[in-house]
Amino acid sequence: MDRLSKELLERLATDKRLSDQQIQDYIDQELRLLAEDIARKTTK
Amino acid sequence: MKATLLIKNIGGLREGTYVFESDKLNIIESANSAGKTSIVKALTAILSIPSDGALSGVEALEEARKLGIKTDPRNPYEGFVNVHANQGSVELEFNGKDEKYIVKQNGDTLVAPEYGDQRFLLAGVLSNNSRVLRQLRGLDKKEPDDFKWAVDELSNAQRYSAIAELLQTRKEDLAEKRALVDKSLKQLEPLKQRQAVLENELKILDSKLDALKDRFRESGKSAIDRDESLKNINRLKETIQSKKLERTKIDREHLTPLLKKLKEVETLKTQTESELKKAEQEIATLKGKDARKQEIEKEINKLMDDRNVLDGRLNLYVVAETSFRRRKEERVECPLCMHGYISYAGLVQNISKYRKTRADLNEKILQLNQEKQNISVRLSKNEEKAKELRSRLREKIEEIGFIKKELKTPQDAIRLIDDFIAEKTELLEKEKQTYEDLSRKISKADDDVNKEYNEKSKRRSELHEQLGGVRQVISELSSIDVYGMMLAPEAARKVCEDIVSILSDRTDYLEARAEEEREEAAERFNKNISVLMTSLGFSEFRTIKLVGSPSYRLYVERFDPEKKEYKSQDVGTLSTSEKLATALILQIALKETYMKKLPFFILDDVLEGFDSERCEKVINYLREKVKLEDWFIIATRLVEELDVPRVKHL
Repeated sequence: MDRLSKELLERLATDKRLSDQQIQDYIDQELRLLAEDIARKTTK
Repeated sequence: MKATLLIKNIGGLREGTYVFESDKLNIIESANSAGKTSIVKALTAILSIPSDGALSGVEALEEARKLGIKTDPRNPYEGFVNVHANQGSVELEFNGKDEKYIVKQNGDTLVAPEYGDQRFLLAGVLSNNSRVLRQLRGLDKKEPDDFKWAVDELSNAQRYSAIAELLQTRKEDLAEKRALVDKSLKQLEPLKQRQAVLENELKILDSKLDALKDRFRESGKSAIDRDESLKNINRLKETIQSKKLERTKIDREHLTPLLKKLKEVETLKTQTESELKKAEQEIATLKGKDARKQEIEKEINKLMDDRNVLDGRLNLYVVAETSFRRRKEERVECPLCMHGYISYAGLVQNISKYRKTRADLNEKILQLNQEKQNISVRLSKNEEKAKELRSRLREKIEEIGFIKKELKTPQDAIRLIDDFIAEKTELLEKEKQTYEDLSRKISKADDDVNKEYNEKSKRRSELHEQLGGVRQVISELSSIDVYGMMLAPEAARKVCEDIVSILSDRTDYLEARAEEEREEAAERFNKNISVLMTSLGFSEFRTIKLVGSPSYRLYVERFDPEKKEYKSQDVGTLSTSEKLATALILQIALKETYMKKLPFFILDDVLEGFDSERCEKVINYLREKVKLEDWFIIATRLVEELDVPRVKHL
């Protein structure tokens, strides 16, 4: 699955139940995973 | 459909229950300060406070304060909760839901409603303090025609924009990180060169130090010999000391007691010899008295002869005396000579004389015999004594011989020990000399090598310190923290670049989506305004709409009766009643556009602002609206004679 996908961003923007903090946590988590994926591929 | 509102300690109201109907227009009536606005505040709060109890964002908080559902710290006595109560509560029952909102005097939420939506603050309430009317009247920080907030905050555009802003922030952070990586890489090159130089110098220095260490080892060899010599010295000292102790032990336990005994026995022997000599001298003396003994015997014999003669004469005289006494004669013949006479007195006198002489003779013989016997006894005694002394002397001589024989063992042992000690002492002196020679040699060698070694070691320490510092900086620069991962600069750069690229793409996407949302919202909004204007009969306005993406200004075209044409008009220049009318159209449009599903709409102190004709039109429109939409529309109206608020259903 793509990290920080547009589908995820759509969901974050339209799900009224999510607070600003929860959205920020989701995005930071995605960015961390994305960074790990890229680092893993780079250092292979 | 009915909705029941229960209020306790909100604003000026201590307690009240109010029923609203969805197919009627609900008019809250009362005199001023009787509690109309408190009811409006309670209803607004329970419909807008979110389920987590906290309004988010500066705009929402500001709006909540303006509408009086959050106590303004600058004016705490006009707070949401009644000033005399610790907490206030609102309960709303409608459509099978039972919403509750309980709040403390200080504003802390104790129980939050489940379905509250803070957008209701902007979309669901029109009052003199609501955003739309404030703005149109020029009482807000925003310009009267600036309605971008409406399409932003009330649509999803705000969420898209907020996420885009967040991604932009992260992108900027990563761009900064990327710049840091580039800076690190730039700094690393000269540092690595410096590291190589230092390492090379250190290598050369290490080699020189190794050479010095070899010299040290040479010196160390002597040092080993010296240490060995010192060990030998110590060993010899220990051996000598041990032997001395052994010697002392033999001397004390064996030799000295034997010598003491020998001395005692020799003393005894000397004494015995002396006594023997004395006894022998005595014997010799006594033996030298033989002539005297013979003389004594001769003398005794003579005396005994004399005594025999005397005894014969005495016997004669005794017989003569006996006879004389028996015959009692006057005189008798001389018993010796027989031819003469002797008187009795003469007889007795002679007897006495003879007896005395005999006694004297006996005495003398006795004395001589005693003298003779004495000599014999003494001789015998001395001979006996001499015999004993000789025996004793022999014993002592034997004993002395035995002791001397015994003495030989410890004396031999001591002699051997003395020889051993002498030998080891000689070796010790030689070893001491060796030690001193080696010490002198080492001292000189150490001075030279030490000096050089110390200098080079000092330099080596300096190099290590510099190298450590360089390595530390290289290590720090070579390991960059990206989202908690410690990455090499190249990898960090790649991660930053890729994520920045993705973030750029996503930010663009979100901004585009936000704009789409705004445009859609504005379109819906404008459509609703158009319908409303017709419904409310605002014939003086041809156009009220938001225009000019992305600024979304309110554009108004108003009929000019003089020129008999419609022309655009600055919103700020509209009359008070026109602004109120425009606000009503905008507010209903906002509600229609953004909060259609929440069936509540509040108009507080608004109806009085219209003239009677317009007010009637508005009321009629609202009555039609509630029937059509099944909404709860709640409006307030001043009725001076009512001290307690009531809800009138039209």
